[in-house]
Amino acid sequence: MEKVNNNPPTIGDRVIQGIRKDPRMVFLALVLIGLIVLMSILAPGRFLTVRNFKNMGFQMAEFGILAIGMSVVIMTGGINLSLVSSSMLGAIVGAYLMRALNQAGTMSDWSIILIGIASILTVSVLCGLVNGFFVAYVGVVPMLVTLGTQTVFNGISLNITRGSGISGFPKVFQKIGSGTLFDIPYTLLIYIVVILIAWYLVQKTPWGVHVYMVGGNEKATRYSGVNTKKVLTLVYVFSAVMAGIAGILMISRYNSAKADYGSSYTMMAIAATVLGGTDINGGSGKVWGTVMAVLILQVLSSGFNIIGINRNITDIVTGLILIAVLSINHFTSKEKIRKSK
Amino acid sequence: MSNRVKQILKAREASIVIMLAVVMVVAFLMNNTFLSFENQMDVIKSNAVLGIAAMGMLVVILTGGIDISIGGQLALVTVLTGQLMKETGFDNLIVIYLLGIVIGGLIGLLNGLMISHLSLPPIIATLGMNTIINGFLKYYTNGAWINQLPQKIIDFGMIKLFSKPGEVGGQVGVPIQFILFLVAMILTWFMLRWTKLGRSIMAMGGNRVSAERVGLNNKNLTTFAYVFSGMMAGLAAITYTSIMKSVDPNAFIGYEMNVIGAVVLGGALLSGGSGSVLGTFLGVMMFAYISNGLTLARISTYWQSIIVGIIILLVVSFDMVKLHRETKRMTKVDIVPIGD
Amino acid sequence: MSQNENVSKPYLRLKNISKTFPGVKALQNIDFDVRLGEVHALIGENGAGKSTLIKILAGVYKPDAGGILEVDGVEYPSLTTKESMHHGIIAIYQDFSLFPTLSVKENIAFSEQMDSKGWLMNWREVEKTARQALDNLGVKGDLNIRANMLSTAKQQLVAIARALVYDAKILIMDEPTSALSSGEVDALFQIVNKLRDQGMGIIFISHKLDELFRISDRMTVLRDGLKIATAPKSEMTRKKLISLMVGREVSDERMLGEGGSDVVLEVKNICKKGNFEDVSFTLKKGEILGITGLVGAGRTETIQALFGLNEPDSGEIWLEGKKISPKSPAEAEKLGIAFVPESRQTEGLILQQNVENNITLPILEKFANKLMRIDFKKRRTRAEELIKQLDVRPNYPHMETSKLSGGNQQKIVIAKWLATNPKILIVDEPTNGIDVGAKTEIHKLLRSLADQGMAVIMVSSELPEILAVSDRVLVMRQGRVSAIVDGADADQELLMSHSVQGGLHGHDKKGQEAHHE
Repeated sequence: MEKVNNNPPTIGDRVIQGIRKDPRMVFLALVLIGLIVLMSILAPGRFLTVRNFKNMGFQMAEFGILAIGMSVVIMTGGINLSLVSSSMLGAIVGAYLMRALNQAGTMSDWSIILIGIASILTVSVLCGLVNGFFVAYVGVVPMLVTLGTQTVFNGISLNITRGSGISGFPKVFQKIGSGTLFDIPYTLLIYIVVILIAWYLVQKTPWGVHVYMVGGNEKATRYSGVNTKKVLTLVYVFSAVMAGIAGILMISRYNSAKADYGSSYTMMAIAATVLGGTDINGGSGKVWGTVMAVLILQVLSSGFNIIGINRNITDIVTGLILIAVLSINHFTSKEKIRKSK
Repeated sequence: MSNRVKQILKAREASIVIMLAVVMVVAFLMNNTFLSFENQMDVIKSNAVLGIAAMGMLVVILTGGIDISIGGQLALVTVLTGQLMKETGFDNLIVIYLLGIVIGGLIGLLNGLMISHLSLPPIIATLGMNTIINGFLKYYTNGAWINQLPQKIIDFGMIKLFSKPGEVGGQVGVPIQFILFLVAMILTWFMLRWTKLGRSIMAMGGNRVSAERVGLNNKNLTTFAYVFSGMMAGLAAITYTSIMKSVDPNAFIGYEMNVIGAVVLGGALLSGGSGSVLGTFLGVMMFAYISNGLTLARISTYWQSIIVGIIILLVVSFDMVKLHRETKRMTKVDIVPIGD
Repeated sequence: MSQNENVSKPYLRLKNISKTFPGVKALQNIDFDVRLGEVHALIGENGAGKSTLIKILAGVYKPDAGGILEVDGVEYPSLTTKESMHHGIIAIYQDFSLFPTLSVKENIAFSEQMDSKGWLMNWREVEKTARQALDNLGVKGDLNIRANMLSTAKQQLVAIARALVYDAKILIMDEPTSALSSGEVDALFQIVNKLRDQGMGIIFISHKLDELFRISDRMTVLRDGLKIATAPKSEMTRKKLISLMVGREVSDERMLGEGGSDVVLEVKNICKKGNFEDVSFTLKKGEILGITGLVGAGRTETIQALFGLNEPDSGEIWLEGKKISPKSPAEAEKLGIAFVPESRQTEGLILQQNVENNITLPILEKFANKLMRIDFKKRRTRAEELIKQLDVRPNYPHMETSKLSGGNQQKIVIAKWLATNPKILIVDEPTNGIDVGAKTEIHKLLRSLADQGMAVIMVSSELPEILAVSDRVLVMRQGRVSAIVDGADADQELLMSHSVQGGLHGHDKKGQEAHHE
């Protein structure tokens, strides 16, 4: 929760201070390094390769971006069950448009793609506004609002696609999900840019501080002259825009759009957020924590994949890690309470 | 109007009854067979699983918790018992039912212990559990269906009581699933209304601190709620197998949303302490009638989730608006002209 | 109310009780006793050890070895919750510990049911027990209504009725009047007197000294974990009591100012259905306008209208010659109106956040540059200034707000608003739950702000507080302004008479005149 840095003199000091300030991040970093070392030993010459890291870059971006979208909502004490369904609704509307325009054949590929992306993001913003309206202005519990909108968004997607996939985009569109720049996947670059923007917005701007304050106590924040309705609405719009970006990456990678793509991501995004140190009740958490959790989950699944462990085991291990990490929290916080008494 | 009548109209169930009536009238206007006994029984049969599971979820929500792993529990029980029946041909249904209830109860026990003794937030503990179960099931079944179940369970699933030949052919009667649903409801209602255990759960859901002060064991009560939910999931799972005559390990992915949706539509508050069996039943029927009405009206089932979603949003918004109005009324000042 | 024949030998006696928490001696060598048929007031500032003492009596805490708890002639080194209840020691906590979603009757009879044999509820018994308990208190009510639908006063009655079901011998009441209107306090005192006459011993904890003098037979003062004194009421005076509590003389004097200059705010005939009716008043620069009246008179509703929390249906609000109609706190803030709400903990502060985040919240956007980046260094400096200005202790900007005392928390809420340089500062019950020493400090602060030219509105139910600082006093009754009087002319009796319907002694006429001045 501490966000102030008084520019200490040396980098070493800074690191030490960082460790003291945020043992959680250090713990996550150690887990990540430990996992990388472990995987390198278990799969010598296969895990620590450029190819594998490239693959991970392709795979983790869409999930990582969704997880950021979930984190910001959870920081306010809410939850966004409609995350992936808004992602797919935007993507399907965009895909539908792109296919139609592509078939008409009157426009250049680039303009079609631009229109496609713009429409995806527009739909996302609308989805976010709907959630924001019900949460901030009507005052309904976020879990119920997003449970409802999840069903609605999904229903609209199904109505458009009739349960099948939409494909037939301009060829160039695929490049977003599969192209590379100097061997670095575009998706990874997009992920990094998104992280930086999210970090800046959440950790450095008044809106970001307001997010934490609303998560701590919405009423007191409102009584302090903060327009919390606006803050909350923007939170859900931000979340939906993240979903939209993830949607673009997903349909580009699959070269098609379907209503049930990424359906397990919503719950996984909640898991990554909580693993990354955000309190499910709101008021705390960091973008970097979530990023770290996503990296851990990605290393785990890639590593298991290379070693040849069934990828479903990864799910089991993920669940176990989630429970284990939070149980550790329970014991350490108990220790803290005992010490402070 | 007498006070009693007013109280009934004010009750949370009243608004859902009105909505339900609207849905029923619309469905009836679209297709007259909607109200036929046969159709009604069909609706209940195909929603008995949701209904039974919702009873368990209700108890969990009454404690202020939530059970995301309900879908996983249902799937796990159907797969394990289905596999057992298929491999060994074992077909003693009572034992199968008991086994299902025990498996569900054990998962519930794990959930409950994590939540009460490790103080994990319910949503996270059960989310983790769901991930583990689904991972296990995918690994174990590879997504393959389990067919060739013993004839006995298939026959059981088709039992209709008080049956007589229908007008269009086939038998018309009360399906066995209806009876099971009824049993689950009566059991839950009895537990919540008449036993000290049930009252303690209601009390704790309303105020945990007070519960501790009067000496209730919050940890055990919480654990019990998840065990109860798991057992209901077990009962629902075997019932599902009996209807479908086969097991699809992916059938319950995302199902927790339906169950939670039904309970919430029925007026239970996620904050705990508030909710009823009758309300939950009505919530389940709302789900049931919408999908049945659409089918009868030959409207694409893709519309179903849109309508259900909108109704959820409307109902919870309506509740919120009502609450605002009530709290406003409570702070009301009695204004009288000065000087009297 | 004198010591009648009911007063007997102590039912409950504490000898040499101490309680040490790691690093803190919460209680040291306390001797304390309660007789059946007396009201024994327990007084002390926050942190004096009252709540530790209560928890030892209720069996929640175990005292250090060496002390003796004697109940009904039996000596214990410590009590368990069960033993304590078994001996009829029942605590009614400030929050009443009711089950909000259960009915009144079930709340009253809950424990009795749980302790009875079998695993089923006996609803007939529940009904009978509840009815009997309410009859004993001499109150009537709907037994089937849910507890959360009741007013605070009625919830308290339910809590008392529940204590009767436990067969309470010693009833501990923790700040029972803090949320009651004075009419409700009277009703409560009648019941307390009745219970005392029936032979119950009552430990009564309150910060409101007037009430303590009205209700108690004996008083015990705690300070810093030590027992300072126990004496019959007749041997105590208000002044003596305060000096015992605080450890020094505290002046009870009035801090009135010059009385203000130009009119800053003019409220003209604002109405809101069910909240307030035809409310008009003016507020001058440099004055403190006290607003009082019974709970439920529409005071909070009225000032919330100024802060955009409760828009009036009709009427006008003028600020410095401009008509305003704030629709949200954010708009009110921009207009220069600041509001310190009644509940510090839930409306004033974000408790788990640090002081810096709280204290700079309304002005946060001012630290941001064009790229929306907050200048955290500048913010820290400003936070430190504010902390220093109001002498918040401890003076760490990164301290979690929940760890500060009530008085210091309240200072943070005020500081947060001072940072915005408001024209009008509205404070609602500013010293609720704050101990005597800190109270005076808050009063001095308000006075000095007014002297510096701020216009202050202070809402309070405590008449001594209103009298201590108000230049003018506005009294509300049933949603209307019943009088506006000069602070210098006011006394408790006058204000009370305007608060109560019909007046107490026919003061009403004077009030009307004042209103029309």
